[in-house]
Amino acid sequence: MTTFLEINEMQWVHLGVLLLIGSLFLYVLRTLNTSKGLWYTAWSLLAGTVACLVISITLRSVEAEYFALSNMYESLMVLSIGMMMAFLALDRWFGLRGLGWPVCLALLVSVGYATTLPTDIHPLQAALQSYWRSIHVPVILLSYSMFTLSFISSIIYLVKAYWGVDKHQPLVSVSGGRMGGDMLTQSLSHQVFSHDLEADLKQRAEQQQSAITLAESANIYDEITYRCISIGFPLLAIGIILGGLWANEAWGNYWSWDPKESMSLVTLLAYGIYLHLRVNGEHSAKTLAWVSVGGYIMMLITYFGVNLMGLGLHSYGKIG
Amino acid sequence: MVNAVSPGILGSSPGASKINPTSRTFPEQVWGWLACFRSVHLAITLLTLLMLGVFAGVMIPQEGLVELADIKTQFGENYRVMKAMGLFNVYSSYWFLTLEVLFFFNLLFGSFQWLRPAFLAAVRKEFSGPEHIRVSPRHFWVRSCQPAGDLCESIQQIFKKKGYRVWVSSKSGPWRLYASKASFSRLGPAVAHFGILCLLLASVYGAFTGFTAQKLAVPGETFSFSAVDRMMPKMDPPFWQGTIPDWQVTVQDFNVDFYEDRPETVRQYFADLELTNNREQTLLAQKQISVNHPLSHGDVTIYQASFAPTGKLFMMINGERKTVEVNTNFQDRPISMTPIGQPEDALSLVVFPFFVKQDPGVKANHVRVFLHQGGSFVGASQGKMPQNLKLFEGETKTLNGIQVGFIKPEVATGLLIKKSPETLWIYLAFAIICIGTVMCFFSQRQIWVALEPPSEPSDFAKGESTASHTLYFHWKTNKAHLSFNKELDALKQTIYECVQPKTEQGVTP
Repeated sequence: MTTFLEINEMQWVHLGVLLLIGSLFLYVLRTLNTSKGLWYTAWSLLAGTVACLVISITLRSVEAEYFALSNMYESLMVLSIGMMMAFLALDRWFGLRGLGWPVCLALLVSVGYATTLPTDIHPLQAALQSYWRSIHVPVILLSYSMFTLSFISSIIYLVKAYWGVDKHQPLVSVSGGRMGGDMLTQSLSHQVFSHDLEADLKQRAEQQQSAITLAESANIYDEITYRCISIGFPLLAIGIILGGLWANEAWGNYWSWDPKESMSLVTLLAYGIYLHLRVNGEHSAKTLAWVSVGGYIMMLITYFGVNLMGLGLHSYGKIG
Repeated sequence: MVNAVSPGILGSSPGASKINPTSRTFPEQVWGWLACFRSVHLAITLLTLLMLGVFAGVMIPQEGLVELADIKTQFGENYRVMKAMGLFNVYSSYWFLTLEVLFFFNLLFGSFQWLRPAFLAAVRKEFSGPEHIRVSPRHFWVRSCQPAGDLCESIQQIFKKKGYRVWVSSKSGPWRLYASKASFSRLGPAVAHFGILCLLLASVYGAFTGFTAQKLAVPGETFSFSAVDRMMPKMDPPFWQGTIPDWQVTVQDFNVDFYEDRPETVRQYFADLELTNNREQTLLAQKQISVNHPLSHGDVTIYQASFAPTGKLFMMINGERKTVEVNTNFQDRPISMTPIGQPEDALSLVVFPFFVKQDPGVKANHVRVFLHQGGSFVGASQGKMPQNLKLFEGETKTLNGIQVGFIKPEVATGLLIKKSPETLWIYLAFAIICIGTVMCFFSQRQIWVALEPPSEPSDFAKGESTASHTLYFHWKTNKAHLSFNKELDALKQTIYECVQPKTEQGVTP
């Protein structure tokens, strides 16, 4: 009989994928059913997937004798773990019914694609033998995880805005004006703008007892997009800075206009535009959602596109 | 009175204070002229253009990264037009530099514009009375029969437990409270912008004073900074204002280390360096450098950047260290033929290096050593291999009474020397940007509370017992509405439980 200690890293990945498929199935069901048991099970299965992938990466790192984050397979695994952890936190806090299954689907694509890539462990190149690798790369990947969540949230927002029940309602950016914030407040916490606290609490207790939940407003996804970007943006900025410090130590230059560096700057600028548009407050949430989608496309080019080209100083990240 | 809403509650547009044009001072007029430079619209436009510019730099082959001939072939007749537009050298093109300069000024003036309002929003502690809160768009109220003192103390404690900083109005009139959390976040954008400005300024300072130099040096070689082949100040004279230190570097040794289990894969490159002062001949620094571990002294750093096999081999011949050149061919194989002994002996040492294919010239798996005299190999006979030695790195054996040792192939180290007086400022700017962006993540949460005593029954309290106090709450956040609403829900529950009459303690309605 195989014990846990005998399971190898790839078997842990396969187990994780199975749990992920289970979680996806339950999150699909959750869109139709408000049962808390269903939610907790879906959440737990996803948490189990995180545990499996973390164990897999740990075993791989032990075998490689370094933190296994040096090729596309490993980086996709870490990206997926980051995305799952971020989503688990989001889901725990806000319990958004519409976000679970798209995130699980994206994770399945990400982990599934990773398993098709070469998984051989290679010794590290001289340039990669630095403590900066264990700092710079995870921070960047974590920012990518947040941007992926923001992208999914933007897509849900756009679907709801164009085809959903909200399409005839005025959809405004939360920060785009005071009214947006009030609408959001109203839809989230079941409050009227001014109210008697006692009556409000009673009403809410009754709603909870009868398991009535409000339909998720598109504005919630606008807010989720904003929050994910406001976490991802500083992470990307810090990640780029850490990369600059590493580059200065390894190559004697903070910035070399290497394709990977340049594209990461493009991504940062794209999300910088999103944040400035948000501050400006003159643009609709639809526009902001499209900018977020655009930013994510830039991120994909940075992450995959430049690696496919295999050019520049970051060519060790090339696929295959 | 109802219309006299405190700006602390409903908020005021930062920088929206209007100045009468006729009474403006000269600095105010200049500030007005600079309005276009500090607008968010310009910031968004510049960010977009910079983004497109950098994107073009990635997508279009850039000189330096791609061979010029390849670019010309790829673009044919369009090459000249695109070249004139700076599209093959985007990052140093006139239009990209112009965008950077505009971006700098936008940041500079924009930061000044937003600094004061952001600072005020972070530190301002304004209290609001019941009459103000009642007209605000987000508020709730609750009535309690508890003594006012106990009630106020309980409310304060609730907010403190939730991590809010609490201030209570000391002025006469109704009891008022202001609670705030993460106010520092309002300064985040200004701090991040300031960091970017510092970064840009530090980079400009570095461009005027810094230099890079490259030198290929073999073990045992000493060279001065001033004699380096490729000395590249970051700017052309007369703009460049830096100095080249009168220092010299001695490369004591250079080694390429391979993985034990993968002898064809390089693990690390090590160069033993000594940095000395030319004039005083004093040792300034000594270090074994490798990739990621440069030698730093003052604002000068020496990096292990590259390597190049010289085609020579370090050998020991009769106890004497010699560098033998791979200088001739034998049956299409490069070999070394080095005369040894007295000239009249016409004796030569012939060395056949067997380099590892993947890294020719760097790693010699082994060498075969023969002796050659008078036109033939010593010990050669028909169908028989001449007398020879197979030597691995570090081995020494004797051949026909001659002691021969193979030390290693000679490999030159490629050193990058950099003087960057701006390093400290760059690091400081990076730290400021990091702090600023992290500050931006947090959201300022503000709650105003006012107690309306029973002697002044509000509109809402009409018809109720005049013995009950009414507590008015108003809240505001600049972002993170979702989590703030969750926190608010929990706060409401706690407040409700707190203000309930506690009959078991003898407090009756």
